[in-house]
Amino acid sequence: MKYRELSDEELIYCYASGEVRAFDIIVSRYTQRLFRFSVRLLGDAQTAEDVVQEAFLRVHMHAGRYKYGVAKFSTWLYRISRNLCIEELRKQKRRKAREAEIDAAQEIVHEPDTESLGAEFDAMLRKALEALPEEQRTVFVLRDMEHMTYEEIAKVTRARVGTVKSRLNRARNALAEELGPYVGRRRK
Amino acid sequence: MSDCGRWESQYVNYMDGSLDEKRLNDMRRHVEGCSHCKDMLERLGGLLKAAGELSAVEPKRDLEDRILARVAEARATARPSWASRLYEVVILRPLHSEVTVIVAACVSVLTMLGMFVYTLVTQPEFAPHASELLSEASSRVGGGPVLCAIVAGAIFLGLDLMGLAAAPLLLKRARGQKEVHGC
Repeated sequence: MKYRELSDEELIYCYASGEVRAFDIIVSRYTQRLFRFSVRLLGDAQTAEDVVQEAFLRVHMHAGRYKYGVAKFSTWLYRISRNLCIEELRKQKRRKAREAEIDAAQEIVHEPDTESLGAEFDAMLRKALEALPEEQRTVFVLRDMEHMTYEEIAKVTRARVGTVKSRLNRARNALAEELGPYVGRRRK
Repeated sequence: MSDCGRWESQYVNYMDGSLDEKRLNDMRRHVEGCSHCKDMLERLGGLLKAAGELSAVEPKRDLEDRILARVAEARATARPSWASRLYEVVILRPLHSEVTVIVAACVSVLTMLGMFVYTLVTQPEFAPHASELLSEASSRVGGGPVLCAIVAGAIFLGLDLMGLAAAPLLLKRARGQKEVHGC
């Protein structure tokens, strides 16, 4: 069977029905996207990889519970990842409270990617993003980096569309204030 | 500047182009005369451009393999609890199988039919009218009362099955699941 032609929803239905190979396609479709999303929320590549692995493990465990036709598979998957990121951020917060000296470890640490992280502005944007409250950061990443619709973001974050817009507004304003003239100069 | 608070909350809608014409014109008029909002909107435009261009951080190359290996391991070691296995066998599988529903319906209808015929033949006093009808039918058509009861029962059974055949389809529609071909 040509799994690649099936939609995400059909693939997860197939997997829940025992078609093991359908899962390979789901993983190949979403690994990079979920990783980018997680790394932007967490600011750390290694932790983001752990979160992505855990997210797929949960998809495997709960594939039978996915409600076909009720929500898009991608929305469900992003929601799982977001919850795992929140869990991880809480752990990090507790850890930080215990070990104040690990502040320096906030930089993204990922050896193979150090070259791509070199640009000064990218680093500034990432740092400013990390300083945002999680709810605002999630909305900003999903809307302005993953290009999701407001309705999809509302489902992932379990919030109203109006709330999503107001969080996005606050996130953008905070980032624009933080990055200030650098953003304006860059635009020109 | 004094009016900025009111317009700041509308930046998202302004940039999405989702403001109605009146509000859009009001906001444009405000922005033209407000250096703060003008500057903020310019910064926001730059920010969105920069966010779109933010260099992608790639995962390690073997991440997909590690995910699949971990899931395969979980699959191999998974031992569902007796309750979930019972739920799977008794509820989930039958619900997903049209054959199971039809077979169950046939068995129950045949059992009822057998009991009905047995009662009519052995104890006609329990259903005198039905027994009379059965005797009359057997004398007109020929064959014994048992044979006539079986023919009548088979007709009812056929009608029942026609109705029951639609049950799994209705069930699937109710569950909001569409057919996935070849899966």
